[in-house]
Amino acid sequence: MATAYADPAAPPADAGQMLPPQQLPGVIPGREPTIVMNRVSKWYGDIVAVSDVSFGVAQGVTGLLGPNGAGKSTALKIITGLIAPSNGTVTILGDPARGSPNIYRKVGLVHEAEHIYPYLTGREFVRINGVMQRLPSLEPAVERAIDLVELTDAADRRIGGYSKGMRQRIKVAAALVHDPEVILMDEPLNGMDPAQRLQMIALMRELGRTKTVLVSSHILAEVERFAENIVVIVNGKLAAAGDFRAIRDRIDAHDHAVRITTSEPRYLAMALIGHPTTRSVRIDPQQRVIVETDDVRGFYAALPLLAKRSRARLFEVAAADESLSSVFAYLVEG
Amino acid sequence: MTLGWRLAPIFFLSLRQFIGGKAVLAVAGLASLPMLFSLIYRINPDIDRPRRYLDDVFTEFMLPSVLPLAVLVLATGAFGDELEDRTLPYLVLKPISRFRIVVEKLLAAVAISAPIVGGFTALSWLFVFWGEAGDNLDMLWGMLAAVAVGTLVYTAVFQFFSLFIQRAILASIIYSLVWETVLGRFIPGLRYASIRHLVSSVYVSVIDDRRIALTGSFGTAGSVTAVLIITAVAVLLGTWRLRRLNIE
Repeated sequence: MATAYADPAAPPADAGQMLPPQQLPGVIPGREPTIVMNRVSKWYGDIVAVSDVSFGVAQGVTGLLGPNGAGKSTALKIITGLIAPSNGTVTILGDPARGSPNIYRKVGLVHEAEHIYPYLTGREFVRINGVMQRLPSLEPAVERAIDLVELTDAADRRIGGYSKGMRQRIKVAAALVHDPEVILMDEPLNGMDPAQRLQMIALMRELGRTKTVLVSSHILAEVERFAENIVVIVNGKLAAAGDFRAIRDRIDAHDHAVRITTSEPRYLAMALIGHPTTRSVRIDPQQRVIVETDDVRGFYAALPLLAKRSRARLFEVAAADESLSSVFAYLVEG
Repeated sequence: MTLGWRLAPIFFLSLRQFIGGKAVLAVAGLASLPMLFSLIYRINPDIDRPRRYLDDVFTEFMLPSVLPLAVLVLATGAFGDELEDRTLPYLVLKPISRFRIVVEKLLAAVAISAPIVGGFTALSWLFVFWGEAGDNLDMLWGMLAAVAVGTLVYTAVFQFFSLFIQRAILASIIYSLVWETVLGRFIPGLRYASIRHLVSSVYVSVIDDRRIALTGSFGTAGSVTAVLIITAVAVLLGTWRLRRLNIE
């Protein structure tokens, strides 16, 4: 499987010169890209939201990864046709999404916005999405979609009373009611509890067997669980695109900062300081252990045993935000 | 789901949206204002002759001020609320033409506004002509026709504003109060270029009473044709705008 990286050192192609679909970053040889984003830019006055981004996405699950504000949502909105690019072209299944309403028979979007018509029940919301898709056998499709997100028991309750996780799931059901070929999801796991996340990840994988699924997220570890390919966008630019494992190896080779909330910060820090994966350890003012490591996978593998030895209970282990940004920045820098 | 929902899902979704919201109360509150004048007349019927009194209230207060202000609430909310709540993608990312979305939204706003405004107009008429209503039915039909036509055209224009201007409510109020009310009154030629004049023309044409006259009336056919043209232009411009709108 090929990995294609955006090469910032490469001379830019001529303005307006489109890349052949098979040469787009992220395109896997032998697989026809379903979504093609070709030299797309979007700016608002002086602010550049997306800068000369090109990639292709084929059947399977692809993660659209980047820190908050990187331009992921803008890219998804350009792909769906909600906003027009300032430059470049976007096609889904060979057609431009913007200005072609019929393409939406084959596309489903899980929108990032939380608000859904609160006066409708979950079932009514899914049903009206099916009606707008003019489905010939509406009710079986509605039941199937609600069943897919395991929301049958709550389907007749008003959406206004749903939790955030339930709203996310009913949005997914509405996006799937017409069995689309291309599914775009903007941060679909936000607000879900661990059990719901597992269920949604399993659903994404299942959908990816036959469909093109593009899922945006700012959490690297999360994307790893469902995506075989990733597209990384940082500061509106394409940082990397292609096989997840190859890109992950590049990311892992970079120093990471990990933040640990524990019952015994000093004992845990002492245990960590002698470990070969650790580059530095400190305790922040909130009594959390901040560890810098140059082998994040080895570190995560060793952490449970080190914690047990130091009799420290772990409450939270998370990548420090600044670390994630620096990882993405590292990808951009090459 | 009923056949109606299947045929016009955005129309019925918008009806639910309006009925469940507070905006409909604002429409009712504004539309009930002329009833206060009718009640004043009921308390003191010696103020004026009833037909003249109600004609003054309707043409000088209801048509230029109350009708556009009551209508703009739902007209600007039809798309404004969807944009504000970020629910518009649920409508536009469907295999449905933008024209149909605009038309169904327009009809839903009219379907709620017109009965409310028309209902309070009828009550105003009833209070003034209490006990002699049967002799003044022509006036009721004239007022209701004007309300129906006015609701349609104002809704189309204000809905179009909401797709073009971020502060559509403010723009609609300024348009109603400045163009339709103040300028139309003080600049004679401008009056003929106002929606108010078209709607007033429908009113006087249906009543067909020499005592209730309008200088430069376009007649029923002319006024209704002009109203339909303005509505069609507003719908087409709204459709054009919705096709080009960037939905964040």
